[in-house]
Amino acid sequence: MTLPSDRYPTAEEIHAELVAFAADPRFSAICTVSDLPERSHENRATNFVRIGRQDAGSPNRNRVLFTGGVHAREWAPPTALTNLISVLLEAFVASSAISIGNSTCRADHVRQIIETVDLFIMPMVNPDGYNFSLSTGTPWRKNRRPAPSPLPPGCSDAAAAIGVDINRNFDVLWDFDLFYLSPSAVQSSKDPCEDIFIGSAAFSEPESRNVRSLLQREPAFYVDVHMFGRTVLHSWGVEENLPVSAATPALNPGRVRDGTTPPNNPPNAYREPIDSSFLGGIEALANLMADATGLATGRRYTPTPGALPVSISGAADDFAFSRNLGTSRLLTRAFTLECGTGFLPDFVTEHPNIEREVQAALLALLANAVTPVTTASSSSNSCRGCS
Amino acid sequence: MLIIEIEGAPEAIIGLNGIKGIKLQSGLRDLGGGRVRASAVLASADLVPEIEARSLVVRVTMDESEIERRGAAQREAMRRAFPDREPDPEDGSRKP
Repeated sequence: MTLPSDRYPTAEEIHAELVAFAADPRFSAICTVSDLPERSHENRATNFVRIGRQDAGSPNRNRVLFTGGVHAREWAPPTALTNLISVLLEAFVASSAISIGNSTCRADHVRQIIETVDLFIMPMVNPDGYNFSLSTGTPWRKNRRPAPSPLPPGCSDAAAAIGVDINRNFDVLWDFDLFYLSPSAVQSSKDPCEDIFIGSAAFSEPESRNVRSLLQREPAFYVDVHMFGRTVLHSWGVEENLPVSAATPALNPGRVRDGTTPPNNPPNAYREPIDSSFLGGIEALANLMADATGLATGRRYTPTPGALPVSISGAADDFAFSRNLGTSRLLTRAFTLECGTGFLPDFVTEHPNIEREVQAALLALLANAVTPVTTASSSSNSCRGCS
Repeated sequence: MLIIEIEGAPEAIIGLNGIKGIKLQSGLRDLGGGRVRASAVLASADLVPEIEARSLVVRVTMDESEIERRGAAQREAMRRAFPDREPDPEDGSRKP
């Protein structure tokens, strides 16, 4: 494989790398590559790989989705995910274990993952923004949708008005004014000059629609890899959790959310219902991923609900979890892995450890995805496999 | 833009929500003793005194000069990797 060894690859190089994986005859039985349905604003194609025994045929195989590169300035996740593909494939064909620091995935667990999991990896969600940030060396966050014309009142910087925050563009409480008591209760914005601009409509962006197309394959597990904070975020991100003993109902459509979390909650503060056994399952998985990061580099990530300390609307993880609420379909266990300690990580001195932490966390999740999840609210917290 | 870590009482950190120019990162670390740590992105270093005035301890993990240094190093890496690409007339970058 051909990724550069001394710098971050471009979006085109990552695209080509995924094509090369699938073209390698050693991997052809377990790896395919496909383009996503939509091209970016600057006409770039994005692709994903599907890893798993294509002939396994079990209807109960868990689907797992990993995405990265949503935010342009978060340079590490696309390379970490691309190299995870390589690590998994090479270990499988060599019947070898994967060791990352003190985190180990035994050879039989690697084989079990490949044979029983249907894994989708999309390392580069936002190729335009990533390439822009990489080539200008700037901490750009959004995609590269052209700025609106004319610029709206209060937004005078045409360069800043370019782009939409992909991770505010998903259809989960997207129009936050309808669901929150005040705009300050949520970290989302309708100002195109802001880094957290939600766009003109839910799924207005090709990048978020591409991720949605993969979520429509009904993954049982989803991890969106971001930077930074060394945290493993789980549901909910839109509000503080209210554990309930029944299956979680659909999202409350009311303008009831105050965005507060303890200890700042006023009396009768709103909290978002979530099935307590489901919550216990995703907390256990978040802890397993965090444990794996600690074993990999000695720096254990912190598992935490996404809404602490700030509520966020329109994010991919909450969309993935919420989309099947109130239905009989499988609920997605959705996480956001916030790796590293800042943007623009140095490729030589910082990226290697970040990559180890990401890969160890995702392998730990994969090892727990080998047991089929068959009901809407059943938990998968068997705590087995790679650690 | 700069990146900081903030330590102190959770209610004081959560109280920073909604202040223009301060974007808290998701996730709080419990330090014990009623103290937590959070990360945030600030639009400007001018906001640091406002945070410290709330009895919070601020540690700058990446200041504006460090972000610029990293950006310059990345631009140089792209120049070396793609020496034949013409710089963009608008932003000077060498787009792949």
